[in-house]
Amino acid sequence: MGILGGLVLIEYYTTIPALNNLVSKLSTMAVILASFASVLGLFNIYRYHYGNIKNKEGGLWYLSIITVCLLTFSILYGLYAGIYSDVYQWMWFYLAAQTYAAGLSISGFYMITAAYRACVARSAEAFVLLIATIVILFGSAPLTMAYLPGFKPIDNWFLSVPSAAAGRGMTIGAGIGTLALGFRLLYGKEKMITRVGEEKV
Amino acid sequence: MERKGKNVWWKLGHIRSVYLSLTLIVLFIVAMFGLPKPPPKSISLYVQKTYDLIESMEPGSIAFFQCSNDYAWYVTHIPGAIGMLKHAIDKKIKIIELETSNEGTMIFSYVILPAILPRMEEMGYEYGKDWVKLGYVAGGDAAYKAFCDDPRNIGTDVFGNDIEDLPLFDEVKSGADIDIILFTGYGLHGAIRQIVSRYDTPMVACSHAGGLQWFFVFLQTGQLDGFIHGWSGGREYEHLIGEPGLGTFGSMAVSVGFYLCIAGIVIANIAFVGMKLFGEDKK
Repeated sequence: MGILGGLVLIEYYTTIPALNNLVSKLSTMAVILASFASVLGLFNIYRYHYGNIKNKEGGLWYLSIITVCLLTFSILYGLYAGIYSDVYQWMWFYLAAQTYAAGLSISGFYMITAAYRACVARSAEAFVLLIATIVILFGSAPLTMAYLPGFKPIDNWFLSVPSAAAGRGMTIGAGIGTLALGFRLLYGKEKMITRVGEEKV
Repeated sequence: MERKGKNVWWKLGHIRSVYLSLTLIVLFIVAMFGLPKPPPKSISLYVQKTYDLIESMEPGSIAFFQCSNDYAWYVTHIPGAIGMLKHAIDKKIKIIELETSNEGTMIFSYVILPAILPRMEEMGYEYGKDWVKLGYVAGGDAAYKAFCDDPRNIGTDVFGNDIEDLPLFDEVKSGADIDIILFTGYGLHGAIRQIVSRYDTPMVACSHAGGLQWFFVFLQTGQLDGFIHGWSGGREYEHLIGEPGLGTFGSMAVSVGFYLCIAGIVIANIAFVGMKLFGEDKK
């Protein structure tokens, strides 16, 4: 795994034709493997919920029954009638999408009450945060830009300087962390992800 | 909580959540259906850049479209995504859709495609020749790489047609043949790593306004050429292409939500200062 990972990494930064061809084939293999991993994930979901139902664990085992039924129905119906069939589309529009949308909409109410309760200038730092919050909220409202287009540079400054600086720091930090983790994986030092050596014999 | 004997400052600082929520619901409804929807008086820099880039494309250029949304947030991205695609169709840009997120492919199939299909028919788009729907391909970066090395690696489109039989792929032999990437959602890193960085392909994106700081990083490095931020940007884009839609309709409700947040913060701070100066008890 380390050798293959190293080859893919070298290919990204070089233009050696033989290496390019090899990594291209590896990428296609990775796509096929990932497709199988999706199927494996499906089996794992079934195994997990079967375990819940069998052991009646956690008092939520009946939710596992609903999950298994919905999953089985959507797979079988999707294979039989296709994803453009009315029933399949109904399941998506009126179950999946609405459930997610409802979850997000509820967070809107929490945001309003949280802003009211938490954004109080109790210290100098809180005051700075408060000003930034008000500027971003005011600038993000479409109506502001309709009537006060002159406000845009202020909003843009907050987003492109302090906010982007923090975002950049986090992106670079996550990138370095991923690189470090990648190298540890390639050298076989990182066993947490692959869980090598954890299997009970 | 004992409210008796407390002064107006204390009561101002302790409004019950249910009243705030009810105010939000009422204002949302009024804003959606009762308020006028004025056009934007100015267009944001990156929305304008997105428009200019698509406008500068020659008819017959190849666009790679990716929808990496999730079910929760997709509504905020849709006005921008539909606006970009309608503009691309007006410019006769050929479109290849490929998803690396399973939710994205459902959103494209059920929400975006029905919105742009009439325009495609109007412009005489032909499936396989002018647009192709490849659907979900597992593997993330590996999927992009496999597609860019040779689209035939993907095998078939979402309807089961062999890619070799689709005339569009006579023009697209590798990632180098893609002229522009149109992206909606969050996970743009894969496309940047595997297409933009390798082939220097221009890319524009739309996402919700809350994700702006993540996209600014790529806008400032030049890896991303344009950006449509949420409802606000979607509304501006609809204004640019002269087709008010979902972004224009919903923008007032979004504004009301933001203004209520600001009002809540201002009231809480007035109450805080009042309590500091005059105390909490009735005088």
